[in-house]
Amino acid sequence: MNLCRSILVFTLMISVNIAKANPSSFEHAVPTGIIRGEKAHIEVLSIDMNPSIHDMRVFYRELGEGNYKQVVMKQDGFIYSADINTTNTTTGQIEYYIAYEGRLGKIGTLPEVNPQLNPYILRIAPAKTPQQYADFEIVILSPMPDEVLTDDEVVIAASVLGGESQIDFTLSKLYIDEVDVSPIADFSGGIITYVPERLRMGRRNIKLQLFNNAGELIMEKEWGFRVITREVGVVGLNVNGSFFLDDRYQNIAESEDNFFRGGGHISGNLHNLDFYSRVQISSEETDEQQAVNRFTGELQYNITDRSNIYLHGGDYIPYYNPLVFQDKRIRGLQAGFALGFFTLDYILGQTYRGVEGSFNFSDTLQTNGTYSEDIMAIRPGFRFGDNVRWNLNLVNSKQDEHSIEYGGNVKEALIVGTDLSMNFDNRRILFEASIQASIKNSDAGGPEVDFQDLVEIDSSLADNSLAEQAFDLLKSTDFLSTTGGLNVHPSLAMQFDLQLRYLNNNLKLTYLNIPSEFESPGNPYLLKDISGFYLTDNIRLLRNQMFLNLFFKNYTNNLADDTYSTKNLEYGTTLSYFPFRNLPSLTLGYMKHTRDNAISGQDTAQYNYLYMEDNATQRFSVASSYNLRIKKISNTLSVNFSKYIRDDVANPEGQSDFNSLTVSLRSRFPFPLTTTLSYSQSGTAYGDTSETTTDIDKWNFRLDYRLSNLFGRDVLRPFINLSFQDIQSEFTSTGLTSTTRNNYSCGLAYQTSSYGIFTLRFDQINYTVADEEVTNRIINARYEIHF
Amino acid sequence: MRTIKTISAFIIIGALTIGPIVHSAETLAIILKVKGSVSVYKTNTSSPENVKRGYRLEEGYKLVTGDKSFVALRFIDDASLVRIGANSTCTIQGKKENNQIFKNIMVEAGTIFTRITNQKGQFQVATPTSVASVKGTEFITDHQEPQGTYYYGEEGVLEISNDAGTATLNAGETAYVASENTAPVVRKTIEGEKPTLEDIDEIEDEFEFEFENENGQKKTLKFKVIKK
Repeated sequence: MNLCRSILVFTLMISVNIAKANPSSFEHAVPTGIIRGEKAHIEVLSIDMNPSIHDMRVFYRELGEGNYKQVVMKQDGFIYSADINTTNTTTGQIEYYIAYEGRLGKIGTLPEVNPQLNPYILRIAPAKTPQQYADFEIVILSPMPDEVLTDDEVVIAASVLGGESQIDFTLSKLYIDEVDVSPIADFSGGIITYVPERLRMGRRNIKLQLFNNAGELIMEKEWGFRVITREVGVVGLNVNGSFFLDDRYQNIAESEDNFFRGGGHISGNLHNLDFYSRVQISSEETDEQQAVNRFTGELQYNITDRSNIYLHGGDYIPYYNPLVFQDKRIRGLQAGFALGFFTLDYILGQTYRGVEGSFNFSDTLQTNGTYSEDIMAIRPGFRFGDNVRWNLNLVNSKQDEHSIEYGGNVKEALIVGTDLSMNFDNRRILFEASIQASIKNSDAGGPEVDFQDLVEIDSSLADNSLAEQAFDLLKSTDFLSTTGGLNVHPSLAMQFDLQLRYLNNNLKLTYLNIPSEFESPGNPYLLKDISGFYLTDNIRLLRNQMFLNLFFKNYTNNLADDTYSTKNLEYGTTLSYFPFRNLPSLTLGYMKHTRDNAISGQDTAQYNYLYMEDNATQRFSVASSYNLRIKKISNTLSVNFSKYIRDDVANPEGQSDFNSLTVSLRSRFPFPLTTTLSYSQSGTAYGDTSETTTDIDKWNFRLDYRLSNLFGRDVLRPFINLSFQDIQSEFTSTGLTSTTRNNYSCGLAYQTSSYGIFTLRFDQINYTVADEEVTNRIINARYEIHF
Repeated sequence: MRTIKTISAFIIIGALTIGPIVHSAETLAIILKVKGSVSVYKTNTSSPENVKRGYRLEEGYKLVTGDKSFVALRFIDDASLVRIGANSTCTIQGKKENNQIFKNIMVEAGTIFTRITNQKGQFQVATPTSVASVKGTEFITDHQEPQGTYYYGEEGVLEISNDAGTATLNAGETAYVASENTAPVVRKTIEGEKPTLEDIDEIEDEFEFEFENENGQKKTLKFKVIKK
């Protein structure tokens, strides 16, 4: 077996090519046929020669919510993916966009323009979640979640007291690390027991699925625990980790390339000392872009359960609060401690490394590079029990003008502020507040100036003693360079969130004011230039059979100039009904979004009429799903219909009428095969005379199979996914154009209890461009093992 | 003759039908850990069987542990934990009603440790001298003849009663009941007087709970428990 492992590793160690740099390009399609309770799998395929994308994330929120949540996309070769849990969605629609850090450290998004205001819409067919079917619960008897057991004393047991009559135990499943052990488990008497002889050391996962005699999943529970050997338990050292190798071959526009990544992590503890280390090496690593390799080391000494001292080194992502620090990778050091009610955190590192620009002597055209950027942050905090936390923070970032030869203006920023979080009544009342002030220097590379020099640039500073004191303070502390680019007027940003959960209501109120001038080097994804409030309420009715969502948003963007500031008004409602009987679930939704500013069509001064905004978008949606059993096949049929109407007074050609219909059939067979067939059709007409139309027809077929215990305790999961898309566009100027786009994906994942997981995936994308057929192919192989 | 045969058939059919009803019993608890010599008596007259982890305990089963032996079990309705120390004899009794079990553990001799976290149904521990009703979470019961019964409160509240009186036991207190005719007496626990289940391997349990908040920030909370 060691020889097999070596051959496997050698096969994966394919020689490296480094491709030329090119702007990033992506393939992404909004998932269809998602049913509430399932995970929505968001996938982005990079088809760039040299993608060099870091920390790609999905930002999502349910219709009506104000703040976006986020989930980090997992990188599997050049496929980025993340799962959004739809179990708790009640409105049938999730708005999302994708943001990433590009090769030079620049932020990119999908959609590319105004993603927060024009996000993708993920439609979710309503369905009862397993918890809504059953009026009993799964009681875990052993092991308890996150319990540590020695390898010879594991008993897996759970009970469903009171639910026996609703469950068909012959259909129900028990999985240990994805391996189906149902045939050898005992399901009798409403108690599920399984006693393995011995389990491998490390973290183990248990999943219990209970089905009724209609084949519907009515209850599911998943939890983990850890197995140690008796000897390790006595010594006091606990270690676990993982190792992976990843290789991708691609043929994009007839250009072949190969990329390789490898790495792993190790974590554990020795008495009171916790440790963690991670390494990732990539063939993409080059001085021409931001770092791709990752090196992380962390130590924490636990004095008591609430007091500790810690040190982080290498690459890490600190978190303060969203206005200050979020999602920004730092390479450096972070140290701090928590002692009783007082905490302190200190960061010193680099957010960007220098990437040289270029100068073309023939046409004297300069391409700016990226300066290296250093960052320092300090955050003292105070904890009052488990209910109140209050923090102060200071963050200072500076670009180093000497790090590259060809660059633009050197930038610096200083952020000072405070944040408070409180929770009461068992977290039924949640309150968070953050107030931050930033001062920036947009040209720190110039000569040093006096305060009077700044007054000559900005006359509003004259007789402003506070501004002069601030200038003197900055000069004495060297937080910011006192050059001509310094703006001593602080930009104030704030956000307040209140959440109340009483009487079957989940009420959320948000107020925010984030000017466009607010500088936040620690949060590259911060939504700025916006001020207003959001109000949303989710109400549970009829014993959780019905959910009513109401939302109202009133906010303004383009704040910098009153002439162009745009008022936004959004309001709407959704009603979802999940009947207990086997009847279709239904979701109805309506929302309206209006935008207007003070500019009229006759305002020709400075061509202002080109910036006039006066439009309204209405969105109607209906979705339904129904479960039916044909012979022994469990089927779920879902239908989604949406209609958008956009009226645009300012730009009649911007008016549009959009319809979308999706029908999906999910089938679960009595053997472990699941198929999904979906058809979607959308049509858009643009312009007040509908002179431009675009119609898209799309078929999608997916097949997932699961083979357990082929050669012992293992599982093989092959899959096929086929997608056929036909796009017909008719323009008054060019007439009818037709393009097709077909995606073929297949692959498999082979997981064993002792030797890890091996995955192989093939993607082929065929599309037509100007009547020419283009084919891209990508093969990805990955090996991963956890110990 | 025909009448006798008919009556006999009814008797046989009745026995086959009623017998299982009379003797049918549902599982009340699962054995999770066994060390040393642990036997179960299904009835007062049955011969003992050795038990292993995963064994299902029904109403009326009696557990007997030998020297340097130990057994741990959980009730199926609320996962309440009972650990029975060495040289102990206990009978598991319970009645299922709706989704809960009214539990009673009859301690004839020995030491048991009890931990209840999400209590469903009444939980009682009975000894020859007294009955303790659980209102809290953790306590130890130690009954030895002829000394009587000691209860040690670890967490929560315990109500102890017999014909002579009633007492409430809180965490950090000890209750002593000399006999069924003597009222329970409660006092502060003296350091070192609590029995320890010494026969069990002490494993320094560490478990961690990793959570990821909505912003992708991961934190790990680690717990260290001395497992007895």
